[in-house]
Amino acid sequence: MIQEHSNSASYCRTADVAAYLDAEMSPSEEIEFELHLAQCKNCVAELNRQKELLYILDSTLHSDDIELPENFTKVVVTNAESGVKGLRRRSEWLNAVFVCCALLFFGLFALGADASRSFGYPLRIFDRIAAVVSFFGHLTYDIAVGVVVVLRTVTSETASNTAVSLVLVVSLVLAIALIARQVYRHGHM
Amino acid sequence: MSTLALGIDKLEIAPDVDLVASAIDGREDSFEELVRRYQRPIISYVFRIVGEYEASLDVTQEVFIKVYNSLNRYSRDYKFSTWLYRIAHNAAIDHLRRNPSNQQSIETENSDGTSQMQIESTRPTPEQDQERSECRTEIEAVVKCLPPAYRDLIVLRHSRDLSYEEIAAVTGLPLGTVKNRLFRAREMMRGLLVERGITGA
Repeated sequence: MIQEHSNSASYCRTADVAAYLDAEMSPSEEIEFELHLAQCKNCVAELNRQKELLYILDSTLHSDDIELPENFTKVVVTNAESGVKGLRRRSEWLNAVFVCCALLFFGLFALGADASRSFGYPLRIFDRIAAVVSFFGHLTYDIAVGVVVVLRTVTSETASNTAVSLVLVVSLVLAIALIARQVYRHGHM
Repeated sequence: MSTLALGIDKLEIAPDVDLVASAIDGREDSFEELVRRYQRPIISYVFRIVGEYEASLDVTQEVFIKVYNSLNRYSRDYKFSTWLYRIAHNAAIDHLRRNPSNQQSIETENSDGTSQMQIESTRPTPEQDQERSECRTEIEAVVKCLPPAYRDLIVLRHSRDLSYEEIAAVTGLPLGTVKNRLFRAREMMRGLLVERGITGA
């Protein structure tokens, strides 16, 4: 024990004084440090100095007496909620879209016959665009189905040889391109 | 605890985590209670780091907006207050980076007395407390003179009562660094207080 005391008194770690005063030491560290204090006048003097400083700091800084503007809480809450980005859930956004669409349809329904007069022109344009998109959609779908059918037929016969399949696809694309070119020239003659 | 069961009369005594869960569920009064609970501690902390009253109000508002937008990301592994102080710490440090001219030196504090006016404007001082208040103002001014990294630790420890571990979580510093830096910050404070004749220690 005497040996331990002499060991603990052999070094002074003033940073440990702060940890001791802040109650940030484990029980065993505290006991060890108290044994050291019993042997070390330097650390006792440092302890007293730091105690005074801590008292001054705690008594001065430990207050929340800053004046807040009136309605500060309400303003902060309102600003936070109006600028919300991450809190809304996906389902809430979907609900919002659903409600907006429902209101739109209800509005059109309420307008009744007037709706066709009010929105006739934009609706006709929309109708034409939809028809063109639909035509090209069907065309693309039919070509794709045709290509798939041809490929399936051919690849099953060639035992799914990828190199042969690739050559066939390229040939097919070239053939389609040639046909399209001929059709285009014919149209311009 | 079911967040839906959080009655209006229970809001004031509800734990922070229940208020967070309730706010995520859409209870606006729960978030308002969190703001009411922490607005003074946060603005006090921010004011001591930033040093300007108006800027502190802006930064505090920014902190709560960030908190509201990030409530879904709050983890119960941390105390809510620690998480909140971490956001406030980052916002205050960002403000200092954006406004480096706000970092005052001892000379400017002494010559124009700006900080003294700011502090007094927040709380009218009764005459009988004048001497004590002057001493307090001096100490507040000394805190402002510290480098931001030291000032932050002094305020978190002595104004906000955070443990070393909580300070480490808020600042992102290792525990050993917190301990050593806090010690050095106090030493610097003591030197400045002795220079001003506030303490002979």
